[in-house]
Amino acid sequence: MNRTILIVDDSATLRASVNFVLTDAGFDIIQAKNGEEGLDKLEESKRLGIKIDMIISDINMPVMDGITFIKEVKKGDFRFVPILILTTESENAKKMEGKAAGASGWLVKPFKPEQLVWVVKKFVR
Amino acid sequence: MIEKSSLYNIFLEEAKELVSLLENDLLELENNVGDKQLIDQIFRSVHTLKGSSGMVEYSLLTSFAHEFENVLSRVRSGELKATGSLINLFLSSTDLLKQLINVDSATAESELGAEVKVALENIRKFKGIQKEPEVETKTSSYGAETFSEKYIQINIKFKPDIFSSGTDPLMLLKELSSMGEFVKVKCNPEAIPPMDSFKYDSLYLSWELILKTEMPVSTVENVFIFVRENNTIVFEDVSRRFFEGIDLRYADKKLGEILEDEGYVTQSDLQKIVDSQKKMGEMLVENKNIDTNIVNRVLSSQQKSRDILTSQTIRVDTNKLDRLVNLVGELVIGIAGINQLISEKYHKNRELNDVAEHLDRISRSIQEQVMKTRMVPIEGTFSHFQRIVRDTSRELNKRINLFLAGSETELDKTLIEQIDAPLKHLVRNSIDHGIESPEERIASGKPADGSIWLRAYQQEGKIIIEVEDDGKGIDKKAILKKATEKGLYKGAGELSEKEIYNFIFLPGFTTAKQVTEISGRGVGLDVVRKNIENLRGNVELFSEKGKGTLFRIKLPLTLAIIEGMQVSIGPETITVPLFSIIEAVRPESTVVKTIEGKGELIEFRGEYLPLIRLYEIFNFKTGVTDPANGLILVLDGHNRKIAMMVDDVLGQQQVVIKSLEKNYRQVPGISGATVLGDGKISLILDVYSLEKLAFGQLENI
Repeated sequence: MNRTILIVDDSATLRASVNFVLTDAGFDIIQAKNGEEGLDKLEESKRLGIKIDMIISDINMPVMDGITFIKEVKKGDFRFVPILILTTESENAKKMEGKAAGASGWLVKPFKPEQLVWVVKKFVR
Repeated sequence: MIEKSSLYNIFLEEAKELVSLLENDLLELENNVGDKQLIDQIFRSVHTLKGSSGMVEYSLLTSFAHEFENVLSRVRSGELKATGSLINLFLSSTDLLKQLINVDSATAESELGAEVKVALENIRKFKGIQKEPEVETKTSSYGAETFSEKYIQINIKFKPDIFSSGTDPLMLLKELSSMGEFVKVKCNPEAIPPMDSFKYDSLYLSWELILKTEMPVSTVENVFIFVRENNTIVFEDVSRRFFEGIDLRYADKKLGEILEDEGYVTQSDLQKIVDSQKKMGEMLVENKNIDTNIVNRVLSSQQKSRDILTSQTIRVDTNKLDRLVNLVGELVIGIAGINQLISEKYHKNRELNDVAEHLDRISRSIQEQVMKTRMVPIEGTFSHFQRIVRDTSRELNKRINLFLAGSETELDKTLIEQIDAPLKHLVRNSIDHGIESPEERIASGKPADGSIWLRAYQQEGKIIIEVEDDGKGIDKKAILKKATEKGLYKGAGELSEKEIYNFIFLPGFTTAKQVTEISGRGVGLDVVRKNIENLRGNVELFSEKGKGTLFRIKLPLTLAIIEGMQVSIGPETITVPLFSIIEAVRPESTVVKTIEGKGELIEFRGEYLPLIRLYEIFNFKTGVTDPANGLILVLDGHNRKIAMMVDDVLGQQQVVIKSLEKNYRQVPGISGATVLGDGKISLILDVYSLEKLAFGQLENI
């Protein structure tokens, strides 16, 4: 059974590249454009009985930003699911904010495919 | 791999959308100056464009968007007001973005490069005074890591002539400081010579730093990537010693010691003060305040009370610990079994899944902690070397100083016990064969006192122990001569430095002209190497004639578990220790060559490596006999690479080693066995003994 990862990012390019890389590495990917859509997708997967093994989330997004999203996730049924945040090189403060909200790791954009796979495999085997 | 073209198409579509959104928003902003929501959206469009272009490696666009974003962030924070002229600049920047999107990254460089440069200059005028380091193009800013705060101790000693190479040590220190926060900065000025021999272009200072950072150690090490080779730069993760920035060792230290450790006073300053002081008891007795007997009685009861409270530690029988380590190993395997069962039969039950995985993570942390309880500082082993060096050098009429570094480095208890003998041998070897007599040293322009350094540190998940001397080094010609005399070297072909040094690790090989009391009694470096290999480590030798010799021992952190790669050969699953694997490649059958007397060789990056077909060695039945259908693992053998053919790679997993010797008997080529998550038993390969098994004794390399 493939592991399923939810990617939440407003950039279509980023979602697509995460999709390419991780599909290739044998994962199933669910995409969401922002935090709110991310929460919807989680609800939906619960209804359909799909297990989410990991969440990758951007920070700066419209409608609902990444930090709020993580805090929401940590309140609900998905609180055990590891969360990886995506940041840019200069957002050190954001990393700490993400950590405080409950994220378990970070990945700096732009990343190389092997970096993404490496860090994902630290959480999902 | 990413399918470049389809990703690029997605990027183009997104970029066009973003730019047209950006243009509309900017026009609207002109009518609603200061609309916060609008400004946020504008900022985000450019931010997203920057991130997306980064993913498709369109660097010209990324760097322009980056500068654009910087100015927009000042508008967002209210530092700048977006009025007429600034909005004009933003609009023309947006036009340029449009142009950049319409061509591909290669044409952009040649056709729009100049235009971008001008636009960048215009936009940078609004960047403000805060200068941001240009980190985004450097690889060191790439990264991914799980959150964990570490304390990394960095000891830096550059060569005195470092300036002549154009390196500015200050830049390196500054780069370090950008990665976290220094909790200790100690600069050692002791090496500064008296004024008359002071050279203005030499660096005499060395540093001891402790950096608190969330970066992986490897990233921090990368700062020194260009200078590491020729200078002494030692990294060590000392997180265990720290708690919220406080050095826990300070609890048991005296004020003077701490001040010395932090570099505020020197040892000799302290000694002077201590010598000039009288003890409290003596002074009271002198003043006739009290009787000597009372002082002695109180002192002795103080000592007793100290003995009772010695420390917060408790003694635990190591057998109990060993049992605990084993049980935790079983626990981890048991939980892996549950996970496997769930993924096969109960994967629909999400809650069960989540809880099981949570349990899995916790059990691994427990395993890690239990492993740590077996770790002991190497201090005890190191400390008795002072005496050995002192006594031995006197016997030989040599003058030698021993310097210890990294005594606090922790090793598995079993390792500590077994590393003592090989280390003693290497140190004696240095005293006897390495360091010259004071007369010889003076004659060759060296200080009369020889030096031996004993260092320990952790690097890349391994323990490194080094024995270095500044003696006469190893004479390669003498080794070759001896090797020829002994018939080990037939004079055929040029030998690499490594291959030449390899001879001195062979049984019965010594170049010492006379057998002394200290060493050269037939128990040679071959025994040292064998001992270390039994601990699943290896030993390397570096030497320069006239300058000195360095033995570097690499050991695994623990003997109880290893990271292993599981490979299949027919129905069998074999575990190969990850530290032995250099690379896994799929070969083409044409590159396998058979050479008379040397067996099969396979070409790998221009080198011919000896090939081991694992199914032949162990007599396994498999359908995969053509290397083109199988997989080649390039392994780190005895000072050379070897290639091993297997059917396929199954995965990577930490395994608990069970001794075959205890439960069955010793098997050549196999170091032990383990139980995998699915309950299957997997044999663990021992690369060195496999190499011997496949190619016979190694004398004839």
